[in-house]
Amino acid sequence: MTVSDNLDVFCGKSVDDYDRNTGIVNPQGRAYRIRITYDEYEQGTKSEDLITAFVNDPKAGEVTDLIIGAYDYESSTDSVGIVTAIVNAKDKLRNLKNLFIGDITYEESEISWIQQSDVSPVFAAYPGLVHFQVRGGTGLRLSALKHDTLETLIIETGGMYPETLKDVCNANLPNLRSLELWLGSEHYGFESKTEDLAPILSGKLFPKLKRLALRDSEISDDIAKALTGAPVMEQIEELDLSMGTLGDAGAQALIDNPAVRKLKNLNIDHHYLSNAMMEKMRQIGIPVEMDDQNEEDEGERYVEVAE
Amino acid sequence: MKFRILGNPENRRVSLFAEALQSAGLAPPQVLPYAGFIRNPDLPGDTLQEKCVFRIDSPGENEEVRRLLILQGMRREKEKQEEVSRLTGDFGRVGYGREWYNGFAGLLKTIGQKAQAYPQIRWMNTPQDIRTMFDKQQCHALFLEKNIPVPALLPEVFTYEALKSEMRKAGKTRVFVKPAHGSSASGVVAFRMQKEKMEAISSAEAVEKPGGIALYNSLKIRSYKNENEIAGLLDSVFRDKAIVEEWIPKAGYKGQVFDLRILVIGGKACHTVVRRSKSPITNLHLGNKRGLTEDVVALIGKSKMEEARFIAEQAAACFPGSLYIAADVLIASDRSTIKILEVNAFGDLLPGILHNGESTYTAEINALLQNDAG
Repeated sequence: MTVSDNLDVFCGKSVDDYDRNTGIVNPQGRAYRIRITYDEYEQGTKSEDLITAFVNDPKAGEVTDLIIGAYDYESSTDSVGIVTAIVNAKDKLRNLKNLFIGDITYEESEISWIQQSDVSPVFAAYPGLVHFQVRGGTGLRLSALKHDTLETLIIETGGMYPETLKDVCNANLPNLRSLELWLGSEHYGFESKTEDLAPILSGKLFPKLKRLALRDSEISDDIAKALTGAPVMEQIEELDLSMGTLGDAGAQALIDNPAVRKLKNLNIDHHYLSNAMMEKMRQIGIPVEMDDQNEEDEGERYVEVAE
Repeated sequence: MKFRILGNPENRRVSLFAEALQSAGLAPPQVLPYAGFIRNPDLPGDTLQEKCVFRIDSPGENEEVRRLLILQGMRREKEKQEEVSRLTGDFGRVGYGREWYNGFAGLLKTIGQKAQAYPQIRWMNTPQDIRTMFDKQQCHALFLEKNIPVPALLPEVFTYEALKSEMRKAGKTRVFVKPAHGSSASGVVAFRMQKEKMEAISSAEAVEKPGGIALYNSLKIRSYKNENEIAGLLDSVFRDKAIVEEWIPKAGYKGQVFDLRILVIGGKACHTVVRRSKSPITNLHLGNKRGLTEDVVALIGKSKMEEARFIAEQAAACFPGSLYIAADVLIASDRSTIKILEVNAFGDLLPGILHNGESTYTAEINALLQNDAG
């Protein structure tokens, strides 16, 4: 499985592909996606040029939601130019609140083939940011992850490199409400253990956290067990371990964890639970999302998104 | 109006077309079986005295006909004939594309020449057009000349190593390798590489055999990641003439990408099929599903859909000798770029798909009748 669709809705707003001929029409009602067309790319236009056109639109100052789509159809350049162009536009995009760099489908580029870079300069450039999302773990860093108002951080990878996870664990995001990490597969860069998640699980790193999503993980069972007694469980309302490899052992740990029963929602879609364990899970007294039951393939479990 | 069909009589193409004739109140067609016609390519002169419509249909899905066409195509290589007999007994094996094409193209040429004696013949699609449509390289050149948007071709290569080198030269990391005379995705490989990573996606299955790697058509789309396997697969494909074109990402919705099969009849875009797939290869026989045109219109907008249909009509106009042409049209993932991927001479077998209440075959017959009346 892979990321197959571009976003139609982003932060509650319908997504429009930016067309420089029509310009920005509805800056507050729509989320705009900047994505170079294939023919433009072939003719040598750069995504940065399209970003420049966008930010020079008279209505750019009113835009609140911005998505960067495919920026390179050959997966050959990284996102340094994109990040720089966005940072340089900080005085034009005065109202930017929600930003997603990398709304890229597998058909455009498999998630592990997307070339990212250190995206953290955007945090200093946009002090009003509320939601930041990025896709693609290759080359991805967030070395200066410090922001006073950011509420949502979503990092989607097919394999999160240890240094990227360390960046998150060194973050200073006092207002963060929702943290979503796609940890991914060891074949594509994931090497961490639950101990490496300790700062997140301690509850001290993100004191206002309400939603914790550790998705797409090869160590879902270990994570589920590590949540037993973890202080973060006392503050969150939603837990999401979906897209991963959760099996009966992890599920039992969740069932035995009294803090789990205080959650408003638990999501374990794409799991490896037995039917009997699913039945037990249904009895824990909170809403549990549990679609997409998988079976081990010759003793192997697979995360939903890796390649 | 009398109809004659060169086809495989056991094939549903022939029976469905006969049904359409019957519904239109027309006489049953006279069927010339390929197998007999290849052995003795004479047009039945005595029955061609009156005005007649000639439909050349697909020679496909018949192993005996395939064998005969390959044999025709390798007349000067008698020593290979024994091997061909073995090959064609080996169900699903890919190979001899070049010889098959030579055989088929030669047959079409013969029909064209013989038909000159019968000016009363009216072709649904001329033998010459069909020949061209079975040569992807020639079609590509024709489309470029007529400014029809098509994916760029890379120079012809004969080995996997040469492919990599041409891709580097062209700055391409993603290509489609397609047998130049193939159909139904047979032997088609989507290949991409980036630094040390690479992937080949194909319905072809590479099987180790005593004489080397043999390719088989399968109904499953596979992903190959190992370079040795990929090299073996592609080198086998390159044994036949193949084209290499840039792989433009397709648009998608609800978890699958798609392209459009648009049937152009009498110059007008008619039946449209949305072919959806989880892989870059969308052929419907590979377990892929049809989608709804309404969903595509919702995604790309009405005017884009109109543009796609218009471009399909333009592509069809490059074949003035053809009443109908099935164009495979790509909408890129940017939901804006449109390209003609292929045109198909026998792409009108679309059971259950109606346009203005007509099946594909009925629409073709009615277009002919209308032309006649006009």
